[in-house]
Amino acid sequence: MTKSGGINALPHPVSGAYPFDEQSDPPHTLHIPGAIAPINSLPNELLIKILAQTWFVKEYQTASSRPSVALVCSRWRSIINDCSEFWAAGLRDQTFIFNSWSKPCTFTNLATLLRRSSPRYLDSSLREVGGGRLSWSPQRRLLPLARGPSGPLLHIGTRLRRGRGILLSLDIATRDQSAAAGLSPTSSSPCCSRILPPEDRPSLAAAPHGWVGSGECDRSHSTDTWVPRSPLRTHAMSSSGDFENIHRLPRSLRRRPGGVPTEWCPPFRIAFASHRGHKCMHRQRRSSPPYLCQCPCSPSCQ
Amino acid sequence: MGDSNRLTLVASDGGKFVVDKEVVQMSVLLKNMIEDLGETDESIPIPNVTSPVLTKVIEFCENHRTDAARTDGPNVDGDDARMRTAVVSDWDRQFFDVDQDLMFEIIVAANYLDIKSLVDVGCKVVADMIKGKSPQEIRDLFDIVNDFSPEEEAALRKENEWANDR
Repeated sequence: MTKSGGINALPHPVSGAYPFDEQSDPPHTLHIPGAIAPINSLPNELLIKILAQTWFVKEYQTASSRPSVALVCSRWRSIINDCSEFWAAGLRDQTFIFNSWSKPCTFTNLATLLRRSSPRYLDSSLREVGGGRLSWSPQRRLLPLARGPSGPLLHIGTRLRRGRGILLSLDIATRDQSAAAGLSPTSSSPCCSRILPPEDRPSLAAAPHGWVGSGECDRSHSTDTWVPRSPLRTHAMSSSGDFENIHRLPRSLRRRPGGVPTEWCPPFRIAFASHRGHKCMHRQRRSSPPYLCQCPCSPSCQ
Repeated sequence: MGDSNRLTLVASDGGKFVVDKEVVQMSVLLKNMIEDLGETDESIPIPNVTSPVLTKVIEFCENHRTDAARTDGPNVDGDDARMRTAVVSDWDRQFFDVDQDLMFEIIVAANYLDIKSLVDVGCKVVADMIKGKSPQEIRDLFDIVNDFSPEEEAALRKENEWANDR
């Protein structure tokens, strides 16, 4: 390579390099691998929309659950790794069936996938034999993935890993389905005491599995929130699945009413408490109700 | 005074397009602009969109102008649910049967103009192109450079093995 014209064209006395000539040398372009591809001209938000749809396949139980798109290039991989929406897209509306032949990795993999997906996108419900007790009757129970819309992910992984043998299935629904049924934990209402006309009652029939609806009680409202008055360990376990904290409790406190901090028992929104013999929450005993309504108009609404 | 039901869009390269207001209102961005401007003869510049892309966008809007009324209501289902239910017709597939540069420019323009149905259909068409393909096939299809080192790739494959261990 030779240069001509002027003192600037002389090579450097030590390095021997020719000076940069703006006119004859085009400026070097920054090489970003994969940036030339037209698809990589898309902003991240659009690329995620596309990639999330490729992952929206119900093949988890039969084929690889880690998508091949994560192996295409580093940009796609980092987008996928950082985007919980992508992982939620792969899990939504699926039912995972477990049996005694289910490998331990089934639960581990599922827990990993759930951890990657944001809790704000998904609701899940576990169906287990007798709710962990020795029983022949399968029971569905709600296992919320988070305390509130931005709350921490609960220990569903622990629950799944310990669930081998008692877990029957895991249903995953999207939050928008819960919201459509008027049951979204993110919804709020100033008052739940009014008696609702039939047309305004929440459509509990459309509720995802795990919600136990009354369908009959005219005081049932989608925004009824209840907490146990004196929480027991079982309350915390059934409502949150927060096993790890519960196991750290002194044994003497575990079974004592009120021994478990109330904040470990997130409010639940069912019209019936299934473990109370399917009695409507509004018809619990008045003198010392085991559950308290948490709406602003409480206790008058009870 | 021109026709009050039509307006002129000016692409970034100066191309002018006279279109029905009804058609343009599929774009939330343009709809808001029209509402802000009121009755005016002024043309609306669209600085980020070139003439070929704007031609295609207008073609899509004209074909789907009857859908606009259906999607005009409040977005109760949210982005995610709408994407899942987006239907890609034969016409839409043929519409996106163009070279990849133009296809992605259309999607980006639709996103800029906030034409949800066009974004949804475009994303779905691209997603269908990706589905069922191996990483190498996807790279070949979209001319993507594999920027993983051999060691990184081996590590990724090993990391992903758990998914197949069922």
